[in-house]
Amino acid sequence: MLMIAPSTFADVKTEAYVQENASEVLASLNDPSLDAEERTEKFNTYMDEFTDMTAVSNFAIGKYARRFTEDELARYRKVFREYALAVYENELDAYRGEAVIVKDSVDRSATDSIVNTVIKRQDGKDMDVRWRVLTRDGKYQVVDVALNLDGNLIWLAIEQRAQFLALLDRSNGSAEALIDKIESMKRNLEAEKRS
Amino acid sequence: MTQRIFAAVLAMGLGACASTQNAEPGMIHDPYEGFNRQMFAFNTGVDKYALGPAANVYETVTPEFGRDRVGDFLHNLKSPVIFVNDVLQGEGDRAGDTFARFLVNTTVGVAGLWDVAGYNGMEKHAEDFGQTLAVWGVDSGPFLVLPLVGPTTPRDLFGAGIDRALDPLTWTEFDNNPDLDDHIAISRSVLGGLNARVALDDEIKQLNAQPEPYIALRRIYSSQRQAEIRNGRINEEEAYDDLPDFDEFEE
Repeated sequence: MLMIAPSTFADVKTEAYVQENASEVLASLNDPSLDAEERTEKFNTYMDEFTDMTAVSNFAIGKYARRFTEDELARYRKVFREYALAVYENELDAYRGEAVIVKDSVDRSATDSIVNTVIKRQDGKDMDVRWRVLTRDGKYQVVDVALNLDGNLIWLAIEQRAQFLALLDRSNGSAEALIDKIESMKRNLEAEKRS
Repeated sequence: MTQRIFAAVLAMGLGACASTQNAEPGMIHDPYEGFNRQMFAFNTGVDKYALGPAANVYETVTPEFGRDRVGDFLHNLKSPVIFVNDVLQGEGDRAGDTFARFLVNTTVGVAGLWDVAGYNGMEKHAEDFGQTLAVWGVDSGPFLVLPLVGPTTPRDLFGAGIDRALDPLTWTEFDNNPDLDDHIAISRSVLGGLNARVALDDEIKQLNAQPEPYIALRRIYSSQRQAEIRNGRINEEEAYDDLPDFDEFEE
């Protein structure tokens, strides 16, 4: 997995980062030589490097990241990671994406960029996907992904946060309630996985 | 395809309506949340015990080909209302598309049973008076969930009434059968509801599996309406202005 050092030409470097790594992630799902277990392992390895799962998990619970105990936070992050990876694998697998084409990018700041891409699909129904990439400690990582749904940009982590916060607000900030819910959703996803 | 993405977003726990342009996520005006949640629970029950099972029966007895014909036919019936709203919004090109589609589908498409125009590259679109009011600058008002109606706003509710008034079928009377217009209206509503319920089956399952289905629905409705009002166009210059800071809750 290529980790490109940031430079003054953030756009170009960030675009290259997304192009290469997103393509590798898709390729891991399309590799016919892998069985289900190997495919999941390879996919998870790529995704762990490609995305900042700790940042995303913290973002998804907002203020509760500071209120959870160390133990709660550790258990939440573990189940969140497993759930998120299962979701990404199932859904990207279902899209049968073949290639990622970078269109352009926008710098929100020196360390915060959006890369606009098109994922080419086998069925010809290409997808408009946008990747939010942060630069931290000299390393690029994706923290959110947007899907363009008929002109409606859907940022996945933001949506996740809206629901997680609502659930936590309604359960007096119960980490157990959230963890149980994510566990339940994860089990459902694993049952749907391609064998 | 759209439905597939929609389902994916829901599967992510991501309730689908996303941070829309010019609308800070979570800033949906919902002063009647307690009432809305009760109505949402009622509607969920109606769907679980009545609409869902009825749609399953409909899906079983009606092949996909038949459901597609029903969908095309019902959409064609909406064309006059869509056309008027296209015009009221100053969307001349879209009004032309709607008019041409209606002509082609009503004739070549055998009374609208086949979306011949769509197959030939004239893609369908939807418009309603709620969207027209939004284009004219009318505020949506608070988010509402009403029994059997589902998610709406005062603007969209009023708009739906105007659309009904604009629909020629609302005013059509049959001399030799005075009840026929009512039967047509009821059949149209029932068939439209069942067709839509079958088409949205995956999405509804995903919605109900969410950590907070009510929040998911609220966000879905609000952001999709915003996208519809913009006719699916994204203002790229403002698309990322409202994104929240990711480091806000870092340790």
